[in-house]
Amino acid sequence: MPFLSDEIRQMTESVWTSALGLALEPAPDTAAREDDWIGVVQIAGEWGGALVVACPNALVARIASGMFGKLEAELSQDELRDALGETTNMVGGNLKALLPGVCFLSLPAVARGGDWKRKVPYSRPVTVLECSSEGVPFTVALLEKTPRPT
Amino acid sequence: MRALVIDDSAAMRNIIARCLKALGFDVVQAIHGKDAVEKLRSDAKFDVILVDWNMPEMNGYEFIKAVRAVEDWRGIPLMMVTTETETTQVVRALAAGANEYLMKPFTPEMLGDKLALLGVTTS
Repeated sequence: MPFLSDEIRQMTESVWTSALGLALEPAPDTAAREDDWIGVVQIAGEWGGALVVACPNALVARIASGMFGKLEAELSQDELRDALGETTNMVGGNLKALLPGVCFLSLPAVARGGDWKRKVPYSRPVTVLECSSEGVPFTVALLEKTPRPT
Repeated sequence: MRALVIDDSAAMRNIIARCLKALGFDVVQAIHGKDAVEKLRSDAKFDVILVDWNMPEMNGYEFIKAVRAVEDWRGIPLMMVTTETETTQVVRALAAGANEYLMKPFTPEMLGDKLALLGVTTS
């Protein structure tokens, strides 16, 4: 069983339903999808790593539309960025309490495009959850810090 | 009733403001603690303050201490609305002067219940 897998799924579901008003569904085959947006919060302290939420643009737009109460076509890039950042922050913040020892969370960072596995250097995925919402697949991943090569 | 909502996320400020407006509040928004202190200096007539913890410039914990250090602002009910869920953080916030603590994510009903606990309702 991957590290804190059930807990991360529960927290993601809680954020999706309570804050976003969206349902979390079983993930379909995600092999062909592309993540347009990547939200990251870094975790420092006795346990080091990062929490990543990687989403296609369609889902980020859906999330931001609900949070801002706007039509998807009316949303700015900043609003999309802000919505995914806060969503990542909520999942990461709740997760932090379950990590061993005292940990601190960074402010969320959001990037556009690329492979989420390469976005956090010197880390390895310890839990990767393939989820889906509104028929759109997305990924929630917990990465653990690894030693820098000397 | 007037509420001051402080969060660095515009999305979260919007969610909280929408809940508060549905409950009959007028809402003023601030993007971090420093911005909120400036808003309080220009007009401190707020019935409740809702503040996030992790923000740039001045975080929520620093903001609470700053508010409670000013005689005129000391009586304003203050609720922390945050993803900081550890008991140690809740205790720190309450010790610094927060009156209530609401963990994100929350539902509009949960926010309403916390406001009722503070005795801050429009009905």
